[in-house]
Amino acid sequence: MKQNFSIVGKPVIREDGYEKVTGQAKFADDYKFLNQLYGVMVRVPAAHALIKSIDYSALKNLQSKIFIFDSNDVPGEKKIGLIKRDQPVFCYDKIVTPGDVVAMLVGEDEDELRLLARKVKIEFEQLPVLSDPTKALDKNAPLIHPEFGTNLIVHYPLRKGDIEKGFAKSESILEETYTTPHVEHAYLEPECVTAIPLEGNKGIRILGSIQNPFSARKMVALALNWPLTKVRIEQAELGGSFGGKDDIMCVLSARAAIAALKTNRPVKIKYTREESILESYKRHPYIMHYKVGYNRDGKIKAMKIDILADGGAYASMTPYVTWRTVVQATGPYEIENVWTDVRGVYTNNPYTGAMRGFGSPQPIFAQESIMDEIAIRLEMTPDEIRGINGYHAGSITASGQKLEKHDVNLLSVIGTAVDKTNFRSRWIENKNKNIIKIPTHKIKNKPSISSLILKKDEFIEPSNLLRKGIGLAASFRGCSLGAEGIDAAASYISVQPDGSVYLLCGLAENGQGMRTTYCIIASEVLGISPENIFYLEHETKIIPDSGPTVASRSTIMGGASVKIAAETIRERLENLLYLKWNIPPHENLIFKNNFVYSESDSQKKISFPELCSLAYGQAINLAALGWYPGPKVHWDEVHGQGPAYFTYVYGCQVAEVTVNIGTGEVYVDKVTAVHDPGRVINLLGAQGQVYGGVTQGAGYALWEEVDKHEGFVRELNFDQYLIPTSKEIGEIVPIFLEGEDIYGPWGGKSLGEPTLELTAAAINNAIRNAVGERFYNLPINLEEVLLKRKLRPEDLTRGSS
Amino acid sequence: MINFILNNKTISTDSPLGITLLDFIRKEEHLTGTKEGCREGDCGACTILIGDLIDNKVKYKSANSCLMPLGDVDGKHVVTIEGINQDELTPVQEALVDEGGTQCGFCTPGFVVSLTGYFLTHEAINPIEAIDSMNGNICRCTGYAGIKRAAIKSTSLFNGLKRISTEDLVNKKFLPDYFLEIPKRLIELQKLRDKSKSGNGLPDKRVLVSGGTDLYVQKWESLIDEDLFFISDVNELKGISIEDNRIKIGGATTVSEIENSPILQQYFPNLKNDLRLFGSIPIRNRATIGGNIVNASPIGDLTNILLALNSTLHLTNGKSKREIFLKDFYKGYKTLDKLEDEIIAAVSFRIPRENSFFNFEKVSKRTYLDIASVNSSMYLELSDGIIVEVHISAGGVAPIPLYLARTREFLLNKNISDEVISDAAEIATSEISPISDARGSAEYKTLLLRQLILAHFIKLFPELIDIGELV
Repeated sequence: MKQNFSIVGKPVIREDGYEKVTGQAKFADDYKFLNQLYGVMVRVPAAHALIKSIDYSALKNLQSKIFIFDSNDVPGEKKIGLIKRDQPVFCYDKIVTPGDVVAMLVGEDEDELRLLARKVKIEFEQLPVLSDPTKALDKNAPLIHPEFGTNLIVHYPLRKGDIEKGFAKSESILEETYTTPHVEHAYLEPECVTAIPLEGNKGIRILGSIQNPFSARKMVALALNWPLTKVRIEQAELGGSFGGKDDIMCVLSARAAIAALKTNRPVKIKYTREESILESYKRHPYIMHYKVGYNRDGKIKAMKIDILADGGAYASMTPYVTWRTVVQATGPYEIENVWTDVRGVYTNNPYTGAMRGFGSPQPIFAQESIMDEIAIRLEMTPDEIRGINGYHAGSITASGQKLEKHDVNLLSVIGTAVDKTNFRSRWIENKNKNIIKIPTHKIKNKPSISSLILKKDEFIEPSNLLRKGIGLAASFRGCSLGAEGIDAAASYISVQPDGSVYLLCGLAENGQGMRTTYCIIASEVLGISPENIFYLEHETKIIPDSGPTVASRSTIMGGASVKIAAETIRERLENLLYLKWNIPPHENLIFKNNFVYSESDSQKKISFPELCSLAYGQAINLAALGWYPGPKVHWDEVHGQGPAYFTYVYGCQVAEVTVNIGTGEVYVDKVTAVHDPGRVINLLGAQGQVYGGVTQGAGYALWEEVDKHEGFVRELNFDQYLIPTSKEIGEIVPIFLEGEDIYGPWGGKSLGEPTLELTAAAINNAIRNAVGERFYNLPINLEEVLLKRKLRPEDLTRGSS
Repeated sequence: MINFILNNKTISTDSPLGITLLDFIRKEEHLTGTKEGCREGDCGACTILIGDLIDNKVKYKSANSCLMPLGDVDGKHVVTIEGINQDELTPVQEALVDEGGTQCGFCTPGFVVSLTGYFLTHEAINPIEAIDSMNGNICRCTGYAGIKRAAIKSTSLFNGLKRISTEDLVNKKFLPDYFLEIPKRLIELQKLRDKSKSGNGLPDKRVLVSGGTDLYVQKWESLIDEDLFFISDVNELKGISIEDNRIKIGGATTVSEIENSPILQQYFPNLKNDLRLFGSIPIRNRATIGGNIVNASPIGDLTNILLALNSTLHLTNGKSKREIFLKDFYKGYKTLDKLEDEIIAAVSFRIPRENSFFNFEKVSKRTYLDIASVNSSMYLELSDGIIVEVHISAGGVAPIPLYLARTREFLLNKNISDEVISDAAEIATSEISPISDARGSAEYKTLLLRQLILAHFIKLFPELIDIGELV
């Protein structure tokens, strides 16, 4: 179905571009309030410890007035959490990870408070530290939260067919283990929030770098024991989030609110980069065992998957993150017999939660690597093996869901990516060059340095030092929340007598360009320019709770609600015109270029502002609330079966790399990203998602890793936590294949996360193609390439020492 | 009391000279377009421009305001995003919007300042350099594609123009017109400068701040109330010259100045390229050669290069002078052969002889804007195919910046051959004592150093080496 759009699908510049390039966009720390105080955290230098006592005597007899807050000051729930209430606002009996906070000092001088925080004496008793997730379920493992009686946060089984029969019928079996690290979101803006007490009994206003205002509202209300209405959350311009400013901002908002209400002054909490990386949650590290049975013809008969996710100190989003994993763990392949177990466990490591991709980049890294290994063993090309097993219309997923009612474009995106990059012949050519093996070193427990020196006969010719490789990865991804949560979104639109328009959606702008997308949707429906739309600031008091801005659901859910709201207005205006022009209802009226006219009689024409003025004169309501509830989904927890998501998107990325096998350096020369996001609403914004997602994915592949030593994080700033700079990644080529769908605005679905989830797997496959060796652990950094192992130094020193 | 111009406003302030310019701008002047992202010069969200009066002309450079002490801007022009803004978007800003170069927008002002600074600091414009000018800015959202397109688009406005001036930039609305008055205003302002703070020898007991690019990462809080002395203001410590057949570099000379020195470009044509791996442009604009040496980081890039040039340090305490070989300067981890009151007045090394060769190698986890895992430099002179002089350095493999003395001894008076190179690399690995740290395990660093020693010869003498013979 080809539609004739005025603006949808074209490149549209951001509605907030002016404020951002002039530095006038106000981020949370750019606000300053009269009589504002600062809050600074007090922590315990331990990963797991009982708190015996806290001695604040060093803070007595100071010239400046200092307020101290700890758990005793929390009027409501002492522990909060969006899924499981296991995270204390202030820790009281014990701490379970080094980021934990036992108290907050509040005063006027932030720098002074930071010095004073070090003087608070905390008596604590060290407890055994659990930092290895594989030991979390051992009988004698220390319990992180003894009240639950286990370190198991969640376990999702999925059972399809008969796994044992499947393996018995398979001609070959391949078993491999893959691991991924903790990853930091590395939003450029560290966390910041200010709580401002409102006069009288009006409640509290909270303004901050908050990704999900409604989540923060719920948690603050819980901690204060207040009704939701009295907690007003406002989102400041958000300096990046990628899933990262959710739980942490709930906790910080609660702390700021408690202090603000007690001091009756605004209280700001602003984190340094070090505190941000120390306390905020990370992407889950996964340990993934895959056992795959397949036949000579390439058909995969059985897949057994066992995944362990390190949830760290608190449950956070672990139950949802791991649920997406269990649904998608096989990858986009139709397999008769599947047996999957995904477990999330508590440890004393930094807690892990939502991050762009949300439980998909990890299994994709494993499953797409294995697909290539099977292809290589069968002397097939990577696209061939995927062609044999890949989803098509009517395929049944691992959870028994039939893929229907939308274009199942998996094989099209793979085909396009392969054609555009001349993939097959280049892959074969590179593979055939890999006669010379990369020198390997068997690392025993304590190798002597001399045993690691390359022997003369291991020397590589300079012309062979730089190896080229090409690799691909493909995925399917469920749109929006799926059966993990209640799925609905609201939008408010109010057309003014002069034809200008207020618009607001209950989902929040995190930098991705959602507001611009919504302006385009409303513009398309009303036939006006996006410049005539004024997007309102997000405040929980004026728009219905639309759930969190996660799961790449902004366009499909929020966008659909904007469309409904705008169509409601349009219908009222149309009804007015049917009467005014005396034409039969349902005759086609065109809304375009700021005018409305009858398709059959171009004499019947009125400008949009005139029409709005007319409507006001007739007391017609030009404000409307659009409400879009997600279609029904279902999940059977026991067998892991059911229609998990109401629709899916598909993508395939091809990475081209150069590997220096003398030093282990990997260069990403080019990434071609072919995605079916459904209808593209804003081409410029969609391309921006691809560039950004691929770049983050490349960082995940090659450098990014938060290493923890007995729970402590080493990489506390950007000198050690390395994200890609402008010079690191070569060309990125976005290509969109727009599949049809009945959901979302004109079939517009999801893109933000698919762009990131594929890149590391594609790069790993490209490195395999370049050097003839498979790598099993992210990141594939210098040392991994050269020595095939992860660096785990005891040394925690920092700086250029 | 110091005086400077912040955007279009003359500032006279008694604030402590040790606070960072970033805090002054945000907290005292309430200009919030300059952002705090890391406070260690890695993200570039706080990038500003510093205009300094040199020969009655204002020379601008970009800098990280989080690593810059307030006291260092006395008599200078400081430009933040607010000082670039005009009634309409500048061509740089417009290009960033049009090309999708901004998403969350937190890093964006830093990019605007860096790119605008590029036009202000370069007379000849080319798109590759324009993109390069933003190498100290990190963005997590856009993947840089839109930003790079915006840089290319902005440069296209100067196609065909050989030299661009501040007037051109004002005419094309890259800059507001108050920039034209800045030279005059700075001349007036400099008359107010407290002469006792610079020149005339060295002050006692003060804490010396050079570029501050590592000092302010390590301990900015403790510097606020210190009595600071800013070396970068001392003209006698700056500059690159040739004296007695030696190249002499003043201790306060910045890496950027070294990079762009015609003298060094003449004798070391690859140096400019090598130094692209040294930090970012705003860091190179501030970091000094003296600071790099005194900081004594075992992995410093400049010290590594200087060791292979067998440099001599010229130390002074204002009264007496002393010279010492750089290779003898490091006594142990961060321990120097330097008296408390001594500073590095200059570094010098012999002009390369004919038939001499120089090469620098650096491997880091991330290619750009990262500290090396291992680096190495080699200077070598040949006469009739015989090595008559050679110096090799190795960084990141010992507690000090290492001079490979035994490797030198081995190579002297030898022909370059596959056998010799291979043996030299083995000897080099026996001279080192690497530790496992964030940048690599001891084993990996050992492997890497061997590879870098070989790389020196492979790069410099490809025709003399048949590596295949080694197999």
